[in-house]
Amino acid sequence: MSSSKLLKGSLATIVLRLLEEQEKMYGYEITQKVKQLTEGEFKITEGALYPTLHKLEAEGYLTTETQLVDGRVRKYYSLTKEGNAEAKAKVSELEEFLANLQKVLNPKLGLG
Amino acid sequence: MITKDEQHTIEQYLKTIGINTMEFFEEMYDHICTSFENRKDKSQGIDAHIRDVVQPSFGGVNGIIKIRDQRTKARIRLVRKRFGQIFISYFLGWPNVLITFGVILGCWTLSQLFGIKTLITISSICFIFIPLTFFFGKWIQFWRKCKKAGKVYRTSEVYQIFTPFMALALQVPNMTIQSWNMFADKDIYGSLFIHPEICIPLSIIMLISFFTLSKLYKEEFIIKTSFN
Repeated sequence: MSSSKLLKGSLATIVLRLLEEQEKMYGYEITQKVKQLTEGEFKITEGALYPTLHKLEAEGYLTTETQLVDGRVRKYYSLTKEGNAEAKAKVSELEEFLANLQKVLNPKLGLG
Repeated sequence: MITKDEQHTIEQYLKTIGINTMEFFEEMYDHICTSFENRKDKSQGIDAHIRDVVQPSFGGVNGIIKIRDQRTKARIRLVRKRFGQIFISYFLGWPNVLITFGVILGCWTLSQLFGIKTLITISSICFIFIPLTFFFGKWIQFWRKCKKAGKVYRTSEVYQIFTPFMALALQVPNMTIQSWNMFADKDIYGSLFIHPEICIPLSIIMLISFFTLSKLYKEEFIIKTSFN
């Protein structure tokens, strides 16, 4: 499995986590933030990001607001109350998964 | 900053590939403009940027269309679910009791005072013509606003999503009128009290659908034109 496939499976968690920290962000900003945080290792494609954002919005985890920036309409996403709870749940679920994965991949570390 | 010509190229590109609703158009437009403004190679033109950067990151034109369709589907699913929730809460709650009482009392009183013909005319105006006029009036108003603002698109996804619900809701009054017609041997004005077991429940469903739609409209379909 390529790293992009692994990333795609965790995309909703990444988006929720970023919005938990940043309060509100727009699509392009999210792609750049991930790129910056991972020093270019993770590249989120727009083809994967926007469906995730729209799905989370439809599920009620994200809410949107628009602002006029340089004469054009910019759509900002932010977490709803349910989104905040989902972000916490998703992050802890992923952390738990990574810890267990670590135990399988490197049993010696797990014993310590 | 992005020039007028570059803006025009992006608008025409989105129009050509079939992005014609306000919400998705504005989001894509801002994305492409921001991406172009932040490009590494400042000598790169807008056409090359769309071809070499934007399109591959979206999975080509088909990728953009797919995102648009998935977005519409997700929103329709959400609205359909909400329609069901509101309808059931009205059907199993006090609104149904009040509507049933109101329909029976209203039909009886109005038919005694003005006759069945007037009753059916008033019902048709209230539950078919007024909602239709309101819906198309809003649509035309939005169309004119977009045209005045010089926008490439002329519609909102709100109208695309609302249209099937509108068509569905209009089928209920249609069925009510047809059943009046059928049970009264082609006398549309005579059957209401001959077969109340058919006409009263249909009228109640019609009214609950109408109130469900009006609540849904207030919740989901308030259009914000953020460009003016």
